[in-house]
Amino acid sequence: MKKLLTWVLFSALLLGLAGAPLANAETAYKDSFIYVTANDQDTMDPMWNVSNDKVLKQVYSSLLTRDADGNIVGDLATEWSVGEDQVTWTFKLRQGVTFHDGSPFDASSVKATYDRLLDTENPTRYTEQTAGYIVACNVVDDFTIELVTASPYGAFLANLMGAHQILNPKTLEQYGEDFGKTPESINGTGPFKVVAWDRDEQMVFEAFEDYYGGAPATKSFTIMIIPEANSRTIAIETHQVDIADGIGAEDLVRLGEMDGIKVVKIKSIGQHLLQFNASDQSILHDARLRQAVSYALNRQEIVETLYPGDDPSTAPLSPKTFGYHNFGTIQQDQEKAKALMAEAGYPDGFDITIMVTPVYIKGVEMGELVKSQLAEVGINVNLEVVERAVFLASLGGLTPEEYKQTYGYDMFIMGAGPSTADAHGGLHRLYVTDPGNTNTNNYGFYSNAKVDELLNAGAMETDQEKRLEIYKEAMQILYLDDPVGVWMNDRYNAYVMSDKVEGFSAGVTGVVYFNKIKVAK
Amino acid sequence: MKYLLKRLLQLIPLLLVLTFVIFLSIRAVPGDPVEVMLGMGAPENAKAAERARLGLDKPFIVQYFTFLGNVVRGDLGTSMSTGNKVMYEIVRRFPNTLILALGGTLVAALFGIALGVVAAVRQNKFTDNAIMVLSLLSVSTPSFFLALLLMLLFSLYLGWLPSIGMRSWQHAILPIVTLGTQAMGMVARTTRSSMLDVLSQDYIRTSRSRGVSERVIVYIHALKNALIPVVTVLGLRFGGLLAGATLVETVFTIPGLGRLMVDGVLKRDYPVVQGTMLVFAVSFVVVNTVVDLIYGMIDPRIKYE
Repeated sequence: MKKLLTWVLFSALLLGLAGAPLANAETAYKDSFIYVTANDQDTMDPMWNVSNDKVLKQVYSSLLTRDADGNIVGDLATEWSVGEDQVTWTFKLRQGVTFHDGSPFDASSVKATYDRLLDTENPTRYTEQTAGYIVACNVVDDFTIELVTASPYGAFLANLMGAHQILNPKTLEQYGEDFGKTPESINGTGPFKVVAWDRDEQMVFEAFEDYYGGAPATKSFTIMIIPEANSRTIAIETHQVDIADGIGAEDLVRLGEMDGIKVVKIKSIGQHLLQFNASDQSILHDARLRQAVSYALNRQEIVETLYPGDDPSTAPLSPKTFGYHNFGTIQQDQEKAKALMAEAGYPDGFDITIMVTPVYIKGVEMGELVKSQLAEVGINVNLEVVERAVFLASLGGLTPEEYKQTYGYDMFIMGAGPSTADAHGGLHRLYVTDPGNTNTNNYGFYSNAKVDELLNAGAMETDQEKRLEIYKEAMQILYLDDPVGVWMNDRYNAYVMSDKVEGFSAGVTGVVYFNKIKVAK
Repeated sequence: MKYLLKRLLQLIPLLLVLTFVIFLSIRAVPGDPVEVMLGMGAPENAKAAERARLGLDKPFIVQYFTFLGNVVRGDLGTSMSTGNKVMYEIVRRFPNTLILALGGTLVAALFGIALGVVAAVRQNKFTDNAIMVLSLLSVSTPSFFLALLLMLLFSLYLGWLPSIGMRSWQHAILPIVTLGTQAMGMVARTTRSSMLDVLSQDYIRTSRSRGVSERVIVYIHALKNALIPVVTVLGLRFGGLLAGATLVETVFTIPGLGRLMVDGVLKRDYPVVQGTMLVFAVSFVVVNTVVDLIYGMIDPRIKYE
């Protein structure tokens, strides 16, 4: 008996010893992590949200989505097809999906969502835009839905994201105007639930264990708002937080070389540009003068100075957007600029006003560099720096005359990038002639009949190869022949994190896949 | 008591004028809350719907009297950007602001008065000059810059103190030191000159001739009489800090009243701007009244009727 006991103890000891290294090899992970960014969400109602998709996608799902590589894949839809009429799209819905409150997802949720989005009597932020191409949403059966477009629509699938997150009909009814403003009123089918939201401070998320894509890797995480860039940098350097975005380019280089910290840069759909006021109320109505400005600038120099590591743009779209074509970066050519100015009747130069805003990273500095470069060919720039509210107020609802009277900018800074990652979203709304001749969508009052024709054709065409050809032709005009603006750089989304972070990935539109992230202890 | 009542009654016309000016001026600057909320390319129909929901489509004067009526009932309105009650947003942040204001003023008072007294006693000696240079540095260093320096030193290099948020007493140290250091110089300079003034008075000379110890003369007789201008400076500073220390709050990511108001202005969130300004005005007047009462305690000759 005693011998047996000895043996048992001995073997247990051996097993214990053998087991010990195994247990050590298995990394222990934190139950929660902190992600830091500069701005809070305005609202978690997708139909009124103008912040970004980064947070919405943690909570909600849409019929389709984009994966980390930018491909359109099913989210709440498993299969989809278009009928012979080219306007009726049928979606098979995922079964067994539940909302955070436990209620089931089915065709009625989709119907309620689109009824709200398409209700022109009680319009949301995105109603006018969406009702412009979707005319009906019909329930076929509990797990099949039809969306009908006004005409064949080439960019249709790419549009079914953003504001199209599927909402819960009961929650919508219960909260009415307050929907999406408090944690209780946020009820989606995404991987995380919002459990606390202190405005402009933090948002706390908890894993939704029943998420159809599998339970998230970490139980909870917090998005903390730190508006000051230097404070964000110090927070990540001191490991008070695990991941940070919106870090300035100069800090990225330094942080990338630090021990214990890694930098992930993902090329985005975004670009910086200086757009022209092409209306007849501006001297830049003359395309030759716009070309002159364009050729007078040294983009490489500006980008290397302000955005080290970024690439100067090569088209009116980022390479990450469908429809992109590489025209090459426009090279500085001061002689050509002067010749164009002389041809337009301004051989000795002219004066323009450029509006910039610190809303865009290094926006003001960009204006200063542009001013000094344009001075070299005799273009005298009056630089106006404005805050965000003035910037936004200057874009929308104004005729060229009103715009000239109130603001009088000949060029203005702009950050562009279609959340749909499709050329239609990136070009059509912004550059097609506005029927009312206001700058609600077409901020620079741009108008070119050929561009209108091409961009409308690109929208209707459903053959994606043909669309590429159409957009190439349109961009030749927008970029070079009758330019809309001066594209500066293709932007990266940069994320700085502790090297203990595993499984980090993010999409081209800035969506972070938080449900895959684990942080070692 | 009567005096206090009078002061509070004086507040009413002041607030009426103030609310009107704020109400008018925030609406006079370009940009409105709906433009900011709905962003670029927002359709006119959505903007109109939003303006109607927020009551911005009504005439200015109607909006003003609605606001005034609500204030009388103790309702500062609802934030246009968050949908939360303005009162809730203020109450939520007030403890942080109070901690910063009290802490900052206390640090400034302790160090400022001590340095000022030492400088006065050692007038024109090395210690005096050193303290005056230090004071000049403290007054002229922008709080933003000082905050970043302290963060670099104590959070990044030494790793002793946290640099973001306000979740424990350790979090309060760096912001309080920043605010205190800034005000310290002013307090030291005021204390010094006031002390010098008092020390040259006849009664001090008399005390000296009577053989009262220098320590008692400086710390009991002189200091007490030199404190009135110092209390004024501290009171103004404290009142100012109650209106939030925006830059310090921003750098240390502390949700306080200063950031609330600046965010409100940037977002053109009218009710937030109106509400916070009202609270600032009231607290400033209250602090000033308290300072006046303290004068009476320091110098019994000062009486209010």
